[in-house]
Amino acid sequence: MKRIGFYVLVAIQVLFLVGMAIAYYVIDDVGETIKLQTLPVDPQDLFYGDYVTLRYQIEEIPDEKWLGDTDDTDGRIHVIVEQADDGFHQVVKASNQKLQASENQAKLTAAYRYYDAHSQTHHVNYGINRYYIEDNTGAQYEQSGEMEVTVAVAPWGHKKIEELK
Amino acid sequence: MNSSSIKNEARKWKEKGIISEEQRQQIVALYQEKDHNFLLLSFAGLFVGLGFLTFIASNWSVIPDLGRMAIILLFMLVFYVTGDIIYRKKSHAVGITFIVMGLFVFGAGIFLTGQMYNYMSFQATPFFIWSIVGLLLFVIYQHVALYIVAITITTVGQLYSAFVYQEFHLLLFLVLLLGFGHYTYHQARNLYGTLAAVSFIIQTMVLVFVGEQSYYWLIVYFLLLYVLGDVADRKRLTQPLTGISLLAIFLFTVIQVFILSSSYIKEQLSFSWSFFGCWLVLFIISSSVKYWKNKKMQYVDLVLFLPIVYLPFADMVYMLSLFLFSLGYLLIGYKEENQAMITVGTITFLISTLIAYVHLAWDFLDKSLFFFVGGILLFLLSFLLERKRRLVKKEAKGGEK
Repeated sequence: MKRIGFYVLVAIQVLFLVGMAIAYYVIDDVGETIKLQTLPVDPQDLFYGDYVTLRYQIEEIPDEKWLGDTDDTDGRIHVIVEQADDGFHQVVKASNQKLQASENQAKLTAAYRYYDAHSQTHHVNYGINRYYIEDNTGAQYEQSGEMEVTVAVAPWGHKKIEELK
Repeated sequence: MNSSSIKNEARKWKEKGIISEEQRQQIVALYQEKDHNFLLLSFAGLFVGLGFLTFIASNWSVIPDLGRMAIILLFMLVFYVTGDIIYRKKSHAVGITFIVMGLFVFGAGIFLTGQMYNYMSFQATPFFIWSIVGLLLFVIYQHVALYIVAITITTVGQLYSAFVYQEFHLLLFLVLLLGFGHYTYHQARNLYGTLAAVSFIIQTMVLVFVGEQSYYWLIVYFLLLYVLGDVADRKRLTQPLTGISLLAIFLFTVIQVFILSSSYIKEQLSFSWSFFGCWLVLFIISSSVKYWKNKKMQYVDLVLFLPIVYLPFADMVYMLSLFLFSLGYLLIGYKEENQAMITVGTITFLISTLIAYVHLAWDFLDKSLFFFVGGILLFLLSFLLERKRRLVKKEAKGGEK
């Protein structure tokens, strides 16, 4: 009995870790694709070892698009994005409460970072600031300035960078 | 003689009616097989495993994601399965060591997989999952090492939640209360009680400091732990639970003496009915338990739990309560000739005196004079207390003869 219990528990742990990996690989098939524009990053910071650091326009949310409270903002926030005329997705609204996305809109989760009172923007983090690249290809990204990033978003909020141009 | 020949001999003795079956078993048990070679081999295996692990860790960045996954899973399975086999066939201690290694690989695996596959976490959920697995492993094997590891994971998880997310993780607290609490209560071991009490203190401190609560809610939580120890009605639990709780509230009171002398902090305090209500309920329970169990001497413990915060000159009243507590212990200890109580009373009395001295004399005395007088004061006190203690000890010994 003890032995069965133990091996069931071990199997659950294996399934849990494998499940985490599978959830990532199926984003390609079930996720929505959105296109994001990066902000220029200091080239010194950009290339760091085996990944590039990315910053996004949608990480800065102006006051007028913020619907939630401002005092209880630690942790998870919800952001609705929509494709603008230039092809990139832009923030429609954001809140620390759950939001409903209408058609042609995508729902993202982010972590709240801080409020910049000077520019009146809320800074958030989507957890997609690192893009791992193959060895010795860093130089080509270093020169490119603003880039276009294709991100797949799973219905359960999990994100994956598909392409970087 | 080795154990197998003893077994043979004992069987012969039993067949000839020299010893009973019970005695045969006792004799065989005296000569347990001691397989040192096996122990060495197990640790050799463990070291090679750890060597591999560090080698992989230093080359981690060049391994592709799927390869990393395979390595994590492989290591986890090898540790777990080897652990289970050794546990059943050879040695419990070594088997559990391997299982603990498996649990560590699982925990590291959650974080590494999360990092590889871009998971964002907003809470200490990885620690929650990890601690649940640890608890279940303890439930299966009931081994003390698993208890220590699992409750440590739970407590560290709560601290991680506090430092990384500035948040109190309720589920981790429930794992402690319902999970570990259940087994701690039913198995009533001193070590389990101590660890659970320490975890309780740490987690409630996180609750108070990162939550919206005023810091004096700690009085209620420490009192709750004290009451739990009192009503547990098992000596092996009462001792660590009330002991740790008293230690925590004593240190808390010492800190209170200093922070409440600042008028700024006093102005920040606001009276809270819910705090007072909770405190009153616990206080009534605690006093009634002591009354029913006829442990009236222990009322002195409750002096430290009084909610003095709101009173004017609270720092002075807190100082007074430190003295009341330590003098109470000394007097009761001498009266009942209880060495443990005298020791506690002596140490707390010395600390209380030091605190009072620092608090009152620091501003008035010249600094070198401050230390001189303080040192002489402590010398005198410890001399008097020690003489009294030896006297009591001598009398106690004399009485026994």
